[in-house]
Amino acid sequence: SEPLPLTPESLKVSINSTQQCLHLQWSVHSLAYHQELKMVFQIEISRFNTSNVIWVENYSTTVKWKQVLHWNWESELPLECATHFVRIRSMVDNARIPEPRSWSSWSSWEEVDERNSLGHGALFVFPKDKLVEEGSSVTICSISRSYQNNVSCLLEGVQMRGEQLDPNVSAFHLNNVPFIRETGTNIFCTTGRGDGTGTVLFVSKVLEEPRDFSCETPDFKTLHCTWDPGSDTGLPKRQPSQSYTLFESFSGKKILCEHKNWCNWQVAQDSQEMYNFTLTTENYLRKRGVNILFNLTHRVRPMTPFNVVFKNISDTNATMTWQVHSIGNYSTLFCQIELHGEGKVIQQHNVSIKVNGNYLLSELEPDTQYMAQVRCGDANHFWKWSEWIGKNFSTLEAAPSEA
Amino acid sequence: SHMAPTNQPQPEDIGAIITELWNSSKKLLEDYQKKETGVPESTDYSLRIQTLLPCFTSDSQPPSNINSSTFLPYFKAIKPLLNNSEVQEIIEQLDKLKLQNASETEVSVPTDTFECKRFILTILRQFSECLERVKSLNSGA
Repeated sequence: SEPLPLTPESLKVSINSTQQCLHLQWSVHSLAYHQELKMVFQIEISRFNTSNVIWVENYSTTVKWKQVLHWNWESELPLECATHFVRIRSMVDNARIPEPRSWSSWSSWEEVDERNSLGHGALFVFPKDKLVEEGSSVTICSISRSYQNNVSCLLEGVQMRGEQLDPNVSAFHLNNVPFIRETGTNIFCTTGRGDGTGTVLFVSKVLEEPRDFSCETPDFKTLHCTWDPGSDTGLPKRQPSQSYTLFESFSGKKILCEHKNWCNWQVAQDSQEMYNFTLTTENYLRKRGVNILFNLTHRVRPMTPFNVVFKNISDTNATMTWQVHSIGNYSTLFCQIELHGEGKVIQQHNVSIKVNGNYLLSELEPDTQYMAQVRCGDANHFWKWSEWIGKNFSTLEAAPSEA
Repeated sequence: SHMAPTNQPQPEDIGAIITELWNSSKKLLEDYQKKETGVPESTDYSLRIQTLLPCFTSDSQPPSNINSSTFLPYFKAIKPLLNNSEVQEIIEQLDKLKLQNASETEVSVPTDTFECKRFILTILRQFSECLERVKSLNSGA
């Protein structure tokens, strides 16, 4: 004969109003000590009365002896606005038991009612100060103490169309809510007799994935990472600006970045050459990450050269010298020189250097003012130019020709 | 007891302060109404604040009869809630008119966010209307 279906027992339902969540826990007492059984639990949720079933869901899991099982349900309607009823039944999901398998009997209905905690007042609006993301859907509800009130609710001063859920409760479904202001979207409800109460819906901009995430080093000691954060999703006193953390998987190190669009990472003395960075951004509502993998030696951006000096200036020549910050023992730099005259680039030269640089500028005009500038990049694996550094100089007057 | 202001500004200075306050209060109210659409005043706060915040003191003559000592704590209470420099200007002007050792009442701001907005709007409205009356009295005095 078919084994007796194992009935779920000790069903307890608790409420998290802020999250608009019902939390269920139960167990299956008649399981034997060593037994581990795959079971399906069917959960029914009703609203206002037990015959008004609004949700049915099957939940499959493996059950052990004396195990307490858990399941959560998020309500689109604020839980303060309706009494909810929950019941559960089960079925063994075991291939060795031939179809059709039978359900256990239902547990008794468990009632959950937040309305007795409302306190005195003629009219209530929920949710209170809810934080949602721009573009999401939200259900506002109002509860009036007496039937006769024809309650009307306004969103930013504009009447909303409502749905009467029961003689005291109206629901207003908002889709694709926009961001209006940092201090929140205003919702105000009134009864026919002038009583009024309201709530604020805090709509946060959508947390964007960081764009143009990249890292570079000027000296193999510090990695400078930058990105475009997109919108700031902070709301005063409601949600801080999103946070940014850098995680490097080879070293396993993680740091919280202090700035919203850049972060410095200290390169350990004998650390690896390959870096696998994940930049994660997070706020109360969402988490997003971007990832880059690179070789440190391919991400060298030299610091700006310094100390530009012009030597041996004559009427047609000048020697330009400059200094560079040391990068690493074997680094060769590739430098670009531009000569500007009368606002135009009139000469461009390239030169490879190891330590400091110098270049002979020739074919110049006598007694003329010029500006010359230099920038450098890594010669081994070019990544980006440094910033330019430049200086003015003037050639000497031409020597008088032999009479 | 009649508290005589020690270094109270001169009548002609008070007139200038009143004009400053009138401009600031009007701008502050308009800014807030424009910014926070859909927030109606609260009839409860209006009545309560009218009784708590009489526009005029009973024991002085225009133009120094504006009741700055009672409005001042309300503006200090709502200042952190408003990102608007006008509030600080109003506080500074009211401070000049304040009776030197007038006691400062403790103001509690509603914790409910929406009610807090209504509370702010009601204060700004009451103060702006008070300045209208003071200004019309002064121009008639």
